[in-house]
Amino acid sequence: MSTAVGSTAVETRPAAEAVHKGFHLPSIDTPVSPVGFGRLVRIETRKQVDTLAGRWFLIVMGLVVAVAIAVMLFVEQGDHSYSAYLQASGIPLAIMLPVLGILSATQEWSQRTAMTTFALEPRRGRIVAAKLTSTVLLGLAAVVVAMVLAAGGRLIADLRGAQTPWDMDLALIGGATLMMVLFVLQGLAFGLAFLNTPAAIVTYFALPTLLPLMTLVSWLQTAYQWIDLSVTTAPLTMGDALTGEQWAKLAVSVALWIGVPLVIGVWRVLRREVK
Amino acid sequence: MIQVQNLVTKYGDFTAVDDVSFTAEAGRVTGFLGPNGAGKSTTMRVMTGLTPATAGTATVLGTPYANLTNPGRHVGVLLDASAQHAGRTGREILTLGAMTLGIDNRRVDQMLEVVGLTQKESKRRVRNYSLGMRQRLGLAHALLGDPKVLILDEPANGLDPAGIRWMRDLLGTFADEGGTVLLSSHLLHEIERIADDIVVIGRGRIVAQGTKEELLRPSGSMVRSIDDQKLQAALVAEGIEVTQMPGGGLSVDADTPRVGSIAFSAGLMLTELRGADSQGLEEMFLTLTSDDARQEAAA
Repeated sequence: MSTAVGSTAVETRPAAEAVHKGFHLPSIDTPVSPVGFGRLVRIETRKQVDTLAGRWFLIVMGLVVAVAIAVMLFVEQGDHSYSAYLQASGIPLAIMLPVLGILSATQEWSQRTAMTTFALEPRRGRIVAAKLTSTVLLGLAAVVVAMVLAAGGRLIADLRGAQTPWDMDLALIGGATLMMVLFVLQGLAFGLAFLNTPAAIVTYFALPTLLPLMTLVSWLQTAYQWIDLSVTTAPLTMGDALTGEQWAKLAVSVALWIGVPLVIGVWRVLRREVK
Repeated sequence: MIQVQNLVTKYGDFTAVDDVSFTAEAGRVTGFLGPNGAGKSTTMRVMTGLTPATAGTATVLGTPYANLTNPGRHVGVLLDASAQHAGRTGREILTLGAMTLGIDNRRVDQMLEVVGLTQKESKRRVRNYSLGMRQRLGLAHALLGDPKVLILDEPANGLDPAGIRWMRDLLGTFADEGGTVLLSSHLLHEIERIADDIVVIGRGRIVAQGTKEELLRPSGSMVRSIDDQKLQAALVAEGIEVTQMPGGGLSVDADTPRVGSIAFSAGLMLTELRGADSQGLEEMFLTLTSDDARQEAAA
């Protein structure tokens, strides 16, 4: 009888016959344990890189950094300090990596995986916390990668007889790390606030272009110095300790461009109906 | 077991779910039948904590879904087979599920086998899956945690007749082992084939519920004999309402054993005797869907 059905069926499978008398669904002996936070962080990290888009994004980022280092090696025979190499590898990462933060938040809604995610963990706050953690970890991993690639570049330069000292500046490394973490968090915060990939990406990249327009208005010039993240984070990559006023400016801009969207985003995710 | 009590969900002025109460029992497959937009999906989303209820309660295994510890180990949920990241492989989706549930990765292969997806297919990205394959993947995901309850929204959508039969057998096995299955459909014949109990919803309200036998029980019989006029007289003499059918034969307002025994006493040979086609549920369902039918004809 199954063959008669099968001949007209669009799609016939062996399993169509596999369910028969005496068939039992396999069961699990593992006892039920609560969903731990560490597990959620691992899953959210994996979700940022396990899609086709995620994979290609990492590959493209790797290529861009490799090209940046190659360019450094050509300019002046590659005779630069380690800090210069670190900037060459770190800056492209700092520009691109926040996109992974954005996608981590928005894809749940654009690809509608939120239905699965929140069905398996109804406490949505924990998912958001796991995304924050995984995004920070991704930022830190990127710093490590940037440092390793920069060291690789500088070692090649050494082989070619570079004269400039290595000059490993800890203040610079610390500052660059903080900047990377802030940027990826800003990406995630924008993603959470918009819950829409194009809107979040466009806004994220348009802001640094649009904000400087404030300097054209005389009475906004002071305010601009306090709220443009690209201005307030610039001292982090200078290799000098920040002054009190620089920290204050950084704090204000972080509150405005990371804190506010994050609060809006968390509120939206906790309340939004999942369809 | 799933219990829904006086559930109301409102969107502004629009009431999507209006005072819905029903129970899906353990060991039974409960069909949730209604036209598109009747409130089936909304009810199921409320059950799984994805949509807040305006009033009323929904509990799964006696607890609100959101209070379950590791809910995926108790309840298998498939609300939309297409709601998966198109750029992930089927296997990766199941692996992520197994990680969340905290179960062995071997379970992924077991479930792939149960739903009939090959190893090769599992390594393809979901964007290349047919709807039927997505449904199978979704069912595998729902079964991952060895749950006691399944909540499935339109799981037979996109399955061919053989696939529907396969799903009926699978869900039947699941229920026979003591599981609770609630599945929705907008197609009466699908529900007829799969479900033991049926809950019919229309415009947010429950319009009928009961076992399939109760709801589909024919309200009379169809009978033909070598002499219909004599038979009619015999039946009328017993006080039974009889209607002559245009194509010959009689439509009788009595069940088949009664008609048979009367014919036997009258010494009439029957050439055909069967229960009348179950018009009740189908007619009710057609009335419910008539508004949507116009759109479907246009589409």
